[in-house]
Amino acid sequence: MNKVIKDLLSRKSFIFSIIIIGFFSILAVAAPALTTYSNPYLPSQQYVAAPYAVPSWATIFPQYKELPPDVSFTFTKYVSSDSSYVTAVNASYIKVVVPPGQTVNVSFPFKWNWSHPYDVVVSFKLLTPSTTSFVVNLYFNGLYAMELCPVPFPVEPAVSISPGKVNSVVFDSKYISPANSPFASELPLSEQPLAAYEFPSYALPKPGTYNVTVSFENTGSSKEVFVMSLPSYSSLGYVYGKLGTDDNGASVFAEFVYGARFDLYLSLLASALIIGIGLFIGLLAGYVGGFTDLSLNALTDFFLLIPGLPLLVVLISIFDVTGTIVNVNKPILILLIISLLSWPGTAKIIRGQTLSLKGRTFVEAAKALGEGNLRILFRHILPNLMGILFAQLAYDVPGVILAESGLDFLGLGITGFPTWGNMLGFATYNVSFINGFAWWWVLPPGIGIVLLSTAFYFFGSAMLDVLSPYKLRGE
Amino acid sequence: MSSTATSEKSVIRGRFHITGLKRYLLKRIAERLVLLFGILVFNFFVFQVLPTLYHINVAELYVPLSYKGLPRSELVQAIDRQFGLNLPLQERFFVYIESLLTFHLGISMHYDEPVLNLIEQRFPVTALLVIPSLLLSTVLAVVLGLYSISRQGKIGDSIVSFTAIMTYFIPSFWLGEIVLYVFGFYLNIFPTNIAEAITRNGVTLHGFAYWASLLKFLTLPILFLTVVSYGVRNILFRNNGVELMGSNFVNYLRARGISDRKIFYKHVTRNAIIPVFTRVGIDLAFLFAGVVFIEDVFNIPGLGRLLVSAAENLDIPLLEGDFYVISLFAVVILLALDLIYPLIDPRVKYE
Repeated sequence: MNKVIKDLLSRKSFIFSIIIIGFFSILAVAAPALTTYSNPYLPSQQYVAAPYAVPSWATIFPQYKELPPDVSFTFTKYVSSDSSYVTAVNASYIKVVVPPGQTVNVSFPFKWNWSHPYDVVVSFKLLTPSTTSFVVNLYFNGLYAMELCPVPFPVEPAVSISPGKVNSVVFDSKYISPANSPFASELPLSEQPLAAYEFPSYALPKPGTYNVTVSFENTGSSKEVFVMSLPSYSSLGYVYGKLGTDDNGASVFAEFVYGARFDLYLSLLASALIIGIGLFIGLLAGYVGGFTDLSLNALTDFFLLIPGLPLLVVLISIFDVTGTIVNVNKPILILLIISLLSWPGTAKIIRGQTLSLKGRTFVEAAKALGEGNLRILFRHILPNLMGILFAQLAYDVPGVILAESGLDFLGLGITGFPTWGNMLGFATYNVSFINGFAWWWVLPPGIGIVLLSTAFYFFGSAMLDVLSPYKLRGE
Repeated sequence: MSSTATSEKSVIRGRFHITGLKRYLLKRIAERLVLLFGILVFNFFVFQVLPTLYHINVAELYVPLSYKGLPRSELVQAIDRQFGLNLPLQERFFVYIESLLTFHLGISMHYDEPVLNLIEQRFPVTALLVIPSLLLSTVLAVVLGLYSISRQGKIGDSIVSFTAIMTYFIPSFWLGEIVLYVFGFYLNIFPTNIAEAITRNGVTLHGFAYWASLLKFLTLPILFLTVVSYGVRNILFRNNGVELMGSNFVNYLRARGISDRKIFYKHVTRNAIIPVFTRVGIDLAFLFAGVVFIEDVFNIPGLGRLLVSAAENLDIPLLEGDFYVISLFAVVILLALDLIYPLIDPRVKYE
């Protein structure tokens, strides 16, 4: 056995295959540790960054240099028009006293190093006085972002705020409209529907220092006291993680890793199944011979002669349309159908090998010694088939991966969670000039499929070379 | 197909003298016909029995849910009657077999056109795509294979073989899309829209101009198909050649003093190319199944897409007709392959 391993390790193609298979196996096994998103196709795990965010390492390219990452922080500094009116309560709250008829502005400066982000979210808690004679405005560097009025149904675009209570104020540029933001309602009518997209580019167009200003206006005749928390800022950037994001802002790396996990799992399982069927039919046909051989051979030819992919599509459609097979889920259905349609090649090879082994002297000797057929099969023929079985197991993997990916690509396969085929399907459907062909999304699954398939092929070839019976006997 | 002395033997049956060739031919034809019949029965099972077992009435899919007017059940029954889906299964089977034997393949439910017309329309497109790339990829495989065999084990051989294996595993829908974007949209070298390619000023071209512009449109897919399909032939050819180079007859030829060049080109190549021909034949046999993904990606109205759209829509007449034509063509080509095989490989004799 030591000799076998030595022989294997002396092959460059084997080393290559082991490295690639090992790499993807580690990705697959360690998937939950590598990423926090278990299924990026769930809406709750989307928008971790802007759609089509580039990978973070891609910022070394000049055209991506300016793009912002995800940013989130809580303001610590504040500047006010008159410091006697504004005092810190504790580390995270400030108190603002507004004399009658006056306006007090509190500004929160921050430094921005990139081009504009995907969205802008500013949120803070605000304890309002119990009167209704005040207005709180939120400005974003001169842009009139939000107006808060202490009446139940204020005139649009003002937003209602309850007096005498702690209000949670959230400004989210994704949801602004002429109904809730003066910024949007002041835009020309034709631009108003795009306000949510345009706000970040108006507010944070380029690197520089910007201010978020909260302005407290007292319209009454007595002094008002406000308490507000230091606001927190967050925005989704156009740079994210190891492999960027897809069209829904979900992590491509998480998709890739979980895709690898599923593809490896399914293809190994399907290959094992194919080997099982192929071994049974091949052994039976090769060893028994005669009419059994003839009919099994016809069966094999039969499956070779029907166009596989369309039949796969028909079967999947039939089982899909019916919905009657509720107890069998889609991956298992795909597994079964792919295995049932792709065993003939394996069966043919095993049959041929069994036929040749059957005629060897050691089998004849075993027969002469009066050994039973089953014993000959399991003690003499099967061990000699091991090399071929391992090789076939490896050879069948690429076929299964390609078939499954093809189904997913056509939109007939798995839909609920990421597979490489799904990634390719959605990616190639969505790429355009606008998102720079989303190369970080299009390339990885394809390269993954090619590399893994090639690796399995080389693995199979090495196994076949090393484990074939001639080699074992030292010839 | 092994070479045995029995080929000389003739069998006397009744008054007829059946020679080896005829006997072999008859046996092969009978085998293939039985196989074809088996496939037809299987198709009937999948397309008609299986839906019935699962209580799907395919006609239901062809009445839009939003349709207002006649009651839905009446429409479904009308479609059932039109396509003979209301008959009991055993009657449907005989109707099915009869329609295939007489080549009245019926009318597609989805396209509302005779199935045979649909296949006829799409056949030239797929043939124009598949046959040139079959020739090109075979030439490419053989040329690269010759290079590999002559430099066996050296770095050039490794690179060529590795590339061949890689290209074989490239998902065509993936690289196809990338190639289409780069050469079609970005560099704008090839037309990307077949409707634009075969019309001028809104009028469909005719005659030579039509075929020329169709071929221009198909150039990119042909080249792409060539690249993704030459691999398997290249590897077959190379492995065979390498094996032959080490075989006894080559040593014997060398011992006789025949030049390496002559051994290589005359003896080794001629033998190594046989499996490549077989492979080309098999690929040709499945011409009617089309190249689904490439047609899908490059938006070519070919047989592959026809088949997949039929499958997606459960268009029963089209599915039955199309699968029948595919199998029939494959059987005929494989039979022809059996016949010409001894011409290519003299060691094989008709058994």
